[in-house]
Amino acid sequence: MTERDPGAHLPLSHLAFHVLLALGGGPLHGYGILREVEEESGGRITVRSGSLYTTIQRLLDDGLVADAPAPGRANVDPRRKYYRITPFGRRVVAAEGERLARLLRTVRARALAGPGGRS
Amino acid sequence: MTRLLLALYRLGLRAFPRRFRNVHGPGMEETFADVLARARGRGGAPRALATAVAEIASVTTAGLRERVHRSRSRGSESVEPKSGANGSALGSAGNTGVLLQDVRYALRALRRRPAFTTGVLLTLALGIGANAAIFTMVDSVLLRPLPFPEPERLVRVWSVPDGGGERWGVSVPDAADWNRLSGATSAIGLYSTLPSDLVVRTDAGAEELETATVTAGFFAALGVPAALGRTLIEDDERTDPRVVVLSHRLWTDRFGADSARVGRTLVLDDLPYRVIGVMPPDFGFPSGSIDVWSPLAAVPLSDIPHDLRGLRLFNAVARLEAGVDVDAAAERLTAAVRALAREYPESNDVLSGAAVAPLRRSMVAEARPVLLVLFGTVGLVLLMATANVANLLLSRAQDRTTEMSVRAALGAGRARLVRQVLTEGLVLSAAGAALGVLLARIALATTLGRVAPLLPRTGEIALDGPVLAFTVALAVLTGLVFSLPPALRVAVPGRPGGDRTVVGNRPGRLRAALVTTQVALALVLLVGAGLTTRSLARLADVDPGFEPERALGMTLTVQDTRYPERADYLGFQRDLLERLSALPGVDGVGALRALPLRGGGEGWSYAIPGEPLADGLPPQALTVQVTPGTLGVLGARFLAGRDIAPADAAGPMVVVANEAFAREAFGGARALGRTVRLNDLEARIVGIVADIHHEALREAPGPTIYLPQQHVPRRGMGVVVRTAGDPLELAGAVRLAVAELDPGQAITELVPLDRVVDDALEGPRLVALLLGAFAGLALLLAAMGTYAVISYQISARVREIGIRSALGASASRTVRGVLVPAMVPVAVGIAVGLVVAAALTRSLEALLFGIAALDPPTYAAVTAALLAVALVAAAGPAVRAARIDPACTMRDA
Repeated sequence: MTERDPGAHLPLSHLAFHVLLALGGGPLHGYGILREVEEESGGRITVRSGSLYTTIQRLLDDGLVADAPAPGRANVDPRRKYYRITPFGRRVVAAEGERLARLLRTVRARALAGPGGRS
Repeated sequence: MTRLLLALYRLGLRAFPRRFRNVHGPGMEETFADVLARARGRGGAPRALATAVAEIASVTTAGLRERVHRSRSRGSESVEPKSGANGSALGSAGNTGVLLQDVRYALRALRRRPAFTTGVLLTLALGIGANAAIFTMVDSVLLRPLPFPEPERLVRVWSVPDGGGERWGVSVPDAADWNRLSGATSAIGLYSTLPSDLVVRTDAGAEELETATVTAGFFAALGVPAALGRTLIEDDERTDPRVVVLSHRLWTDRFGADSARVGRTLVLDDLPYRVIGVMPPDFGFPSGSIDVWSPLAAVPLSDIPHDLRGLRLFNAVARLEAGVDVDAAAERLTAAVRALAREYPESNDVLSGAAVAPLRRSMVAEARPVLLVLFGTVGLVLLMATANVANLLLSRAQDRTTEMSVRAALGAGRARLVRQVLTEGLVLSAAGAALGVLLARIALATTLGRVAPLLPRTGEIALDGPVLAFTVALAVLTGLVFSLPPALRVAVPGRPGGDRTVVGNRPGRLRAALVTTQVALALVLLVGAGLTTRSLARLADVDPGFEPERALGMTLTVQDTRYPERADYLGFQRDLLERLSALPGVDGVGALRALPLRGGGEGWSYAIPGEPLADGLPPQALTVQVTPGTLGVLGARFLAGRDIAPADAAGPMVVVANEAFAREAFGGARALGRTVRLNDLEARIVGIVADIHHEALREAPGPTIYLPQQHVPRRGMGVVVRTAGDPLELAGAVRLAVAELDPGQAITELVPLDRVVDDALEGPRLVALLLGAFAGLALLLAAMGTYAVISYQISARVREIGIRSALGASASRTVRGVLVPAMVPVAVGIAVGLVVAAALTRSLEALLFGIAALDPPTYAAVTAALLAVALVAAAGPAVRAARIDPACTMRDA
C-alpha cells in the first residue's frame, strides 16, 4: 500500500476538522458527533444534519473515517451507524493541527512587532 | 406534529442522490429525531419548530449540492456524443454540472430558432408582465396594510341619523365626547374635505397649498409621529390654533429641507402661522397630495363656528382600543350617541347611532371591483399565453423527434431527455418573466400618472418583494405547465411505437383542446371588452344638463382674512364677474357654488308649506347657490319659467328647481309658482330646469334647488365663462382679470368645461381601453392557435388529402373536408366561452352603466366576430390543402 500524504487533504474544512476531533475520543454515531462538536465549541457551532452527513460522506470517501461496529451492547439500533476515525485520519488531523500552530506562531510574531515595524 | 415534521424531513432528504440516501438516510432521520427532541426539551414547541425548519432547509440544500458535486466529479449520467450538437458542451467547457450543461444546451437551441424563441418570449412577457403590473396595483391598493402602526385598529366612524340608511359626518364636540364616553377608542380624529386651502404668496403670485384641516385626535389616531418637530396637540386648538404641520414633499421642494424652518413663521392667508413640524416622506392622509395640516379651529368655514355640536361635516378616523373589535366599537359608540341625545336633545336628537368600518376597506371600496376585474382579466390573458406557447412548443417537439431519437439511441436516458426539455421550458419562462417584470415596470411608470386620480393609495404603488415573488412563482409554474406536453411526447428507443415519428391522435387532440381553451378565453375577454366599451358609450351619451362646449370654468375660494364680511366677498364676486364679462370674446359669465360634475352642493332639508310633514327625516334637496343668469350661461335647458334675474335681489327670495325636485315635491302637479321652505328661508319657484349633473355622470341627479348667491353666500365659487371661440384662448385673459382685481387671490382650477365632462369619463375609459387591449391580444392568439392547429392537421393528413384528390374530390370538397374538423374545436370553444362569460361577467356589473352583464347583442356580436376571425385564420391553410398535388404526396410516401 502506497503511503498516502496527509498534506493532500489540507486544509480541512471547518466542520470536517471538528468531526475528526470528536471521533478522536472513540466511535460515535451521527447524533453523538453532532452533540460532541456543539459541546466542544461551547455551543458556538450549530451542526445541521445536512452538512454533517455530507461531511461524513466526504471523509469516508477520502478514507479519513470508516464505518465502525456499534460499541458494546447487543440491542443496538441497526439504523444508527457508528463511525470511527482511521489511522490515516489521525495523521491528517495531526497535520492540520500543526498547520494551525504554524499559523498561530506567525500571527503572534506579527502582532508583537506592531504596525509598520519589524521585530 | 413530530410525524409531520419527520415526513417533511424525509421529503427534503429526497434532494440527495439515491445512493447517498440509501447509505445515510436512516441515520439522518434518527439524528433529526434526536435533534428535534433536544430542541423541544430546551424550548418547547416553538423552538422545535424553528429547529425543524432549519434542519429541513439544510438537508434540502445539502442534498442539491451533493448532486451537483456528484455529477461534477463523475461526469454526466449518460454517454453523450462528442460531436454534433452536444459535443461542444463537454468538449470546450470541460467538466460541468449536468444542470449547467442542460442550461447551455437549451440556450443554444433557443438561439438557433430566433422566430420561435422571440414569439414565445414575447407572448410570455406580455402575459407575465400584465399580471405583474396589475398584481402590483392589487397588492399596493387592496392587500397591503396601510402604512400606519397597527393599521387593523384604524376605523372610520360616522353618525347615523334616525331612519338609518345614511351616514353623516361627525361634529367636533361629538367626537370628543364619543372618545371619552365609549371606552371603545383611544383617539378619534376629524379631518375635513371641504375646500380650505391656505394661500401662500410667492413671487409668481398667490398659490394655494392643499390643506387638510384636522383635529389633534387625527394624529393621535393615526399614530404616525412627525419626522421633525411635532404634530398637533389639543393645546394648540385651545390656545394658539395658527400652526401648521408641513408635508415632507412641501418641505423639501419649497423650503429646501431646511430644518430651521420648524419653529419659524409661515405667512398663509396673510396671517402668521407657526410651523410646528414636518411629516415623514410617505405620510399622505387623507390624500397623497396634501401639503399642510392645520387645526380646524384655525381655518374657519364661512361664518359658522367649527365646534358647533350640530355641524356634522367632518370625516372621522379612530383608533380602537386593544381588544375592541369593529362590532363592539359600533355598539359602544351607539350607546354614547344615545347618551348624548338625551343630554343635548336639540342638536343630537336626530341621531340614532354610530357606524364603524375598517379604514382600509372604506378607502379602497370603490377601487376594489375594478382592480379585481382587471386581475381576473390578466389571469385569463396569462392562461391564453400559456396555451399558445404550449401549442408552439408542441409543434417544436414534433420537429425534434428525430433529434431526440438520435440522442436516445446514443444513450441518453428518458429522464435526461425529459429534463432537457423541462430545462428549456424553464429557461424560456425565466427569461419571459424577467422581460415581463421589465415590461411591468415600464407600464406602471407610464400609466401611473393616468391612473393616480382614480385609485386610492397610489403613492404606495411600486414593484417590490411580493410582486417579484409572485412573478417568479408564476414563471416557474408557467415553465412547468407548458413544458409538460412536449416533454411527455419525447420518444425513447425500446418503448412501443417510440422509434417512429409520433403521429397518433394524442398530439392532435391536445392541440384541439388548446385551441378550444384559447377560443373560450378569447370569447370571455371579448365579451368583457364589448360590455365595458358599450357602457362607456352609454355614459358618454348622458346629457350633463349644461353646454360644455365653448365654456371656461374657474374654481376659486375667497379667503376670509382678506374679505372678512359677507359684503366684502359679495363685492369681490360682483367686480370679478363685471370684469370678466367685459373681456372680448366673452358671451356671458356666471358663478355657482361649484362647477358642475365637481360636487359642491349642500344638502338642505325642505318642506312645502301647506303639505303635512312626513314622519321621520324631512326630505332633502341639493342646494346650489348661483348668481343671476348663471343657469342661462351654463346652457341649462329651461322647461318652464325663467332664470333668476338681477331684479330679484330687491324682492322676496326666488329659486329655480330642477325636474327631479318638481317630481318629488309636487308629484305630477305644477311646480312653477309654488312656495318652498328651505331650512328657515321661504322662496317661490320661478323656473324649472332639466336635471344638471352636479355629482357624477353615472348618478341620476336628485332634487336640486338653485338659489341666489346673496342670501347664503359661500366663499368657494365656480365661475363659468361662456366664450364665442376656443375657451383656452381666453384662459390667460381670465387669469389676468383676477390678478388685476386682487393679486393675492389664488385660482384653484381653470379648465374648459368640456374637459370637466371628459374627466368624468376617464375611469370607465381606462377600463374599456385595457380590456379592449387584452381582448385584442386574446383574439390574435386565438387566431394563431386556429391557424396552427389546422396547419398541423393538414400536414398530418397530407397523403390522405392527396389520395382523395387523385380519386376525384373537388377543390371545394377538400376545403370543406379540412375546414370542418378544424372548426370543431373552435365551435366547442365558443360554446364553453359563452357559458363562462355569462357566469363571469356578473362580476363586471359594478362597472357597467346602462347595459346588463347578459346583454344579448354584445354576446352575439362577439361570437360572430370570433367565428369570422377563426374562419379567416383557417382559410389560408384550407385553400392550400386544396392545391396539394397528389403526385407529390404519392412520391414522398
